[in-house]
Amino acid sequence: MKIFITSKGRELDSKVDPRFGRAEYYIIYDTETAEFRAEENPFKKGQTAVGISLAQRVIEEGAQVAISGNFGPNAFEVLKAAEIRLFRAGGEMKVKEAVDAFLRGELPEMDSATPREVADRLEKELK
Amino acid sequence: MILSVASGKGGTGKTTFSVLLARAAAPALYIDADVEEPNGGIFLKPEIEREEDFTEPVPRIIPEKCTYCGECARACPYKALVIIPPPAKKDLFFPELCHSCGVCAYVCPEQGALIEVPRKKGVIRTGRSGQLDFMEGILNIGEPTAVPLIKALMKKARNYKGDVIVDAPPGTSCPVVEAVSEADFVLLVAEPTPFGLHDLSLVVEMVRELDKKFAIVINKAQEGNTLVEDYARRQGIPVLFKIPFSEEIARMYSKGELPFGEFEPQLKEVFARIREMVE
Repeated sequence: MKIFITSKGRELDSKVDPRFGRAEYYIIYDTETAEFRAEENPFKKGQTAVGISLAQRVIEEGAQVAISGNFGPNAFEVLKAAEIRLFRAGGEMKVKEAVDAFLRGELPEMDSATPREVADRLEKELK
Repeated sequence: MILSVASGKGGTGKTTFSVLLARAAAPALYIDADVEEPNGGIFLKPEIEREEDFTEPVPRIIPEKCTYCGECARACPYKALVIIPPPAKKDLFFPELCHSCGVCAYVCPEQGALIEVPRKKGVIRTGRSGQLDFMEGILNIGEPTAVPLIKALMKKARNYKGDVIVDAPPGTSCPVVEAVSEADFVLLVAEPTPFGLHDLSLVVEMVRELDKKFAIVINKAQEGNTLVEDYARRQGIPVLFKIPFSEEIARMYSKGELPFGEFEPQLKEVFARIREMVE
């Protein structure tokens, strides 16, 4: 199974990027081979629809699970429609820690998008 | 003659001046093209006679005919369409991102799989205020661009038999360009402050680029403050009118009133002068 994780860097000990659409990088982790690949998020500086664009990338990458700190409403809608399961890795979790926690069934599954006010506060904190 | 009233900065008195001038120019047509926040009607208090929907085409996927190939979604420059391939086979449409460019319908390889249907994006209201014909566009909240609705208003301006005064949106971006595109003359309303002067200089660049005849109107003009006039002199731009800085006008404005009668004789002269400059 392929897992899509938003990341602040290209390594497994990079931190999970708490933003979905504007994440710096994403990592595709294959649970069968324990191999991974990192890509720069090509949409991170886009003006609009960055969440939708990256959600489409998740589908194209063939991932069945996506892990991030937050999912905006549009990204959430696209990923849910594609029947991709979404999990939240909060705090300062590293990518590897998030993957392990997910495999142990310890990551909370998202049943709604991150509320706008929470997303705005997070965006401010990151600046 | 089409006369557009613009200003770089917001809140400089575009509407105040537009409605004063429109009244003085009557019989004429006043168009409020500040479609994201039209407020000329507050002062002109028109009797609205007609309200028509403003619609634009947006895509609709016909599930029985769609193969979910995703060509439309890949072509969409605004990411307003998402196609989830088989086995899920779903389509998502985000209307607030759609610019009605039509490329989705153009690239769709399946006959009848993607049709375009009208979607209401605002209204155009027409009516009368005394001797003045009145028109305003009201854009729905959340729409991505005001340009198409303003374009529709400008088409009506072109077809009107008589003089038209267009109250443009603030700024210097696409909606403003659209609102002055058809103008024979542009009046730029500025207030004599450093911010006012800065934004005035931006909109002057814009109208020069568009090759329009134009002049300046100063609002909140004060004795001894020559900030805008000095600039106008240096640039060789005529200053056609000044509305004095007055607590009385501000007080009236806050109640949706303006001293129409007081300025009417002078503004009739201003309007005649503009006509000469155009011809």
